[in-house]
Amino acid sequence: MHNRTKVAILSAVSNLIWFVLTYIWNRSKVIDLEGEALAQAWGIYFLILITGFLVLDVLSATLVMTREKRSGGQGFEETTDERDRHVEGYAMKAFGIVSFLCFLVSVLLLALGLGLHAFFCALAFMVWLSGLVMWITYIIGYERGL
Amino acid sequence: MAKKTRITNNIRTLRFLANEMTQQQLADLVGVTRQTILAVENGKYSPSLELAFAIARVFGKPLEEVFSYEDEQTK
Repeated sequence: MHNRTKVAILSAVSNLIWFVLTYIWNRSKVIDLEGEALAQAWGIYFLILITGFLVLDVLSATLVMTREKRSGGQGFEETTDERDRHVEGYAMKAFGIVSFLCFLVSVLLLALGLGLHAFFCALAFMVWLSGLVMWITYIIGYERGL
Repeated sequence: MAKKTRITNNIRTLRFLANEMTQQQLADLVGVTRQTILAVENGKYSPSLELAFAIARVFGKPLEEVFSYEDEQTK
């Protein structure tokens, strides 16, 4: 299995756990809020969510590459070549498309009058889902080919 | 009617004939990772023209002796 596949699997799983935990924690916080206070609470939540994702992704890469280095591989010294850029291109495209579609859905919920709670919930789901799709594209790209 | 195309290669055979060259050695010579050579050999990745020419040059063969283009027509 390619190193980047391992990183993608680890990142996807850890991001899911982080998303579920922070979502449950945030839900109890924002349930009674309205207007400015609601927007502020969600803003803080998004900062925590995205920072957590970034930290977990860096930790996943560090863990996999350190293990690889210990078992005689190149670890972080491994060069990036045209195949990596090819897979990365697809992953970024998938990330962009899903982000855009999810944002449209979020705005649609707002336009339909479902309220700020629904809008922010959909946005949070969007952040997680677009990341997940990106990691899945990496896995498919490295293990099956694109 | 759908047209299915595939690029196949003889890299594994050519490596064996070239003094049992390892994937890592070939990867170093053409400037990619061993994983990429593995993916090309297994048909999981179609290399760029630049990489294809570089691989062919390592074995001292013309491109068409290393890579071939299969053209299957499915009904």
